[in-house]
Amino acid sequence: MKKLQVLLLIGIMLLTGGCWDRTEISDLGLIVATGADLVKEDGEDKVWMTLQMANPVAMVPGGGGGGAGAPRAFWTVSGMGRSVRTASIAVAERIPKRLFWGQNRVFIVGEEAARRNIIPFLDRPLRGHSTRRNTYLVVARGTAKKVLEVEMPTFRASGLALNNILELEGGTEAIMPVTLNDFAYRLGSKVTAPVAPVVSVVPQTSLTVEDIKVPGGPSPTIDISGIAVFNPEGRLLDFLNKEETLGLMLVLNKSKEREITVACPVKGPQEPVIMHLVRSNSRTVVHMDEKGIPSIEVKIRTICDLWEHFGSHPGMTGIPYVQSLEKRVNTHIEKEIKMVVSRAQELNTDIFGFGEEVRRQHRDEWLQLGNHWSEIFPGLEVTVSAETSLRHRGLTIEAPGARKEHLL
Amino acid sequence: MGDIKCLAVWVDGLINNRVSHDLFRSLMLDIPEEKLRRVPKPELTDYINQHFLPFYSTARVTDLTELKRWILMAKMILLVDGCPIGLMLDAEATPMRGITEPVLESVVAGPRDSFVESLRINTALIRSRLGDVQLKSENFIVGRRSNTLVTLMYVEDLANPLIIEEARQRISRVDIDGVIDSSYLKEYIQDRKHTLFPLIKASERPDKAAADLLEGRFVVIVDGSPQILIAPTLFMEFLQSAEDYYLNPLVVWMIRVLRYLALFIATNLPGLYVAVTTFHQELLPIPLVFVVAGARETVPFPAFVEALTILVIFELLWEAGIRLPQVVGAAINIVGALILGQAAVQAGLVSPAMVIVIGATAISNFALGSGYELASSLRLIRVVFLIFGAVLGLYGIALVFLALLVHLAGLRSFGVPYLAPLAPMRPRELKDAMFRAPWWDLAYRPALIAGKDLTVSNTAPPEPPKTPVPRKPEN
Repeated sequence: MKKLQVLLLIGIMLLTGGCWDRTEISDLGLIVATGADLVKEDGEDKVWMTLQMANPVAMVPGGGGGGAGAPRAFWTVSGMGRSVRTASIAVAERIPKRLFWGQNRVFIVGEEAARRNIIPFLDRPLRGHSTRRNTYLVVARGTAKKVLEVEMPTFRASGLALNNILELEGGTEAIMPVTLNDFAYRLGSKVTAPVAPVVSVVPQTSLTVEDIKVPGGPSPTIDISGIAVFNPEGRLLDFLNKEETLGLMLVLNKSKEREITVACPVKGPQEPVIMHLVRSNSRTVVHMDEKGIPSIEVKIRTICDLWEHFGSHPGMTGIPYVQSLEKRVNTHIEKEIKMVVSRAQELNTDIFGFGEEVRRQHRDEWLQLGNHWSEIFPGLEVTVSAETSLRHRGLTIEAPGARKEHLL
Repeated sequence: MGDIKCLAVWVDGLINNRVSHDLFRSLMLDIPEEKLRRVPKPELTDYINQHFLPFYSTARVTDLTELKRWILMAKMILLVDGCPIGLMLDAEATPMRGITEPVLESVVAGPRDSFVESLRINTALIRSRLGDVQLKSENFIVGRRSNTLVTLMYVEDLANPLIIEEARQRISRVDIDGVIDSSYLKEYIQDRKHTLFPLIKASERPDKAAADLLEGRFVVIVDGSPQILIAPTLFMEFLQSAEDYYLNPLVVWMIRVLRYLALFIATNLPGLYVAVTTFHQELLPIPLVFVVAGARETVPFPAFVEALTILVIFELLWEAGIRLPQVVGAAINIVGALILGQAAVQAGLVSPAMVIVIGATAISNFALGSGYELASSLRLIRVVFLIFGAVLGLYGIALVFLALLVHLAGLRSFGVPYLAPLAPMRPRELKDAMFRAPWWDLAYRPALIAGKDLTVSNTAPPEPPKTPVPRKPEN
């Protein structure tokens, strides 16, 4: 009897899971990047989905890779439909494999689609259980299709290249990765506006002689710089340039590593000093005055190393110089942040989450302020206090040869 | 001997010739007849035994059935006319091979002798290592027709008397025709009717037996079997090797961790691979997906069939490798490695990734320490994992894992929980589990096994002298 029960149990166990969900890995159409564009056809808005697919056979040794006429490792397919899902199905119909979204790493939304409203495009990827929540969301200047059709010399797939850039270099310089999850989280807030990095197709800059000879000009490549700013309702408002992005990243605590160029304390701007930010930590403090009007203080503490002094004059060893450099970095940071703040205020979109900070720190006042945040934000007083400490000056401290005159 | 008739009975070939010569010489030449005549006939045997026989082991036998049995158990029997007593003389010289190096449990460091087929030699190998007066041995005769001598050995003041009593009862309960090897006995005296896991450890190493006796375990030696039985046994012991106690403890820690990894690979890897590549492709990092998918492109079978096929071929190779004479062994290697492995991959019948998976599994299977027994059990468990992984994915793997854990936790070896000291958790005994503490720190015997006297040593750890050693004054 007991044996029968155990057998029954095993049978039920096998049936509840069921091997019909099984798919051989070679039967999967592996999507590595997806692009969504909005196009007009016969006066009707249509979604144009572009999928970048991997062809694994071309990637294993002996699998036919290399040589002319060999199968390509990646290719793109597009399909049109009324929604993201219908457009994907249109693609699936033309592919001999089963579309697999589990390895999709980048979701690119075209500019047109983003300007209209990005929310409908995000519904399917966030709703589906097979898509990754940590897929990177990127806004394309122009169409997403064009970005995905770029063939990179290194990865051969622009989607994978994008993924690698965002993953490896995210947080350095003006590259700020945003995942679907981050984006949806910010969309969920009442006042905080979502942002997403921007990718554009640019001509290749580092060209070899062979590249120039190619008919049709230099091959295109992709470039990530800047940030697309949305309003809380999900419409693309404008793009931030590189400097503004850097300021935004400092406020959002997303800067891991970057360069800050300041003028030499002695010779001035003609001898730039490159400071390397190794750590930064920002805190947003909300002050309330008697009339209940909030003001924001952004406190930033950074640690910098001196990485390059593009100059030749000696005598930069003293502590006053160090302090002077630190002060210059502070001013630079303050200026940068002020710039992006005034830009955001112009656009009237709270990309910093200042409103959220007010809600957290002064909940009672927020009950009144919250409904009028779009009126308060453009006039919000924002002060920045940066505090930098210079940690290392490298192995040489001064430029080579700089001390010669002291030796005489 | 004059007019007294004697009869010596033995089975030819089982008796040492030199000894039998000694017997006849003393009977025929040494005994003065006039002395014999003065002895009353019924006491004649005892008299001869006490005064003239140069044997170290003799015994009086009065029962005829017992007498017959002794004859068949390689003893010599002397009967004297008119005397109702038979005399059993130990002149055993059963044919046997010499003491060789252990085959299944070979080590690099440590003793290199192994048990042989003779019980007497085996007990001697243990006794020579353990000069303890408390080391007791009890003899049983098991097997209605084989009349095999079975010896139960234990250190009386270390072993748990309840466990010893249980062992005594289980052995004497066994009633079969013949005990040819210790494994016959093992299946009779273990705690459970059906289990894949060895509940009693078989060993061919005398050093292991001696060390286990010191931990309070008992040893069962079966005449004619070079594998002795050691119990109570813990699951963990199959992931330990005798060498663990001879090497640097830190190195041993690393090796033992490796063995647990090997255990995991040997049981789970094929199932895990099939589960991940057919159900959970999103778990793999992108470059790995490409490699696995690309390699599988030409394979005509589903991953499950592919895995099962190579596993079966591996099992066949294993079986063939054991049975084949050594001379032909090389041929098997070539066929296995080159023809099946290389050619199958090149023909696209099997993906290289799968060959690597099964290869890693096969290697891990034999990297378990002293676990040939465990290794052979894992063969089946692996297939169960594979089937459930292929049908239910990681969910199935988790189910089998849990079921296995429940089964293991329910096992006992002579009443001692099989998963001790992990379940039940006994922190003090963990010192010799995943890692081995240095000898000076292994101060206690496992309390679930040993009955009394749990302290092994009171030696303080080694320490440099507090004051520097005075140097010899120079000149």
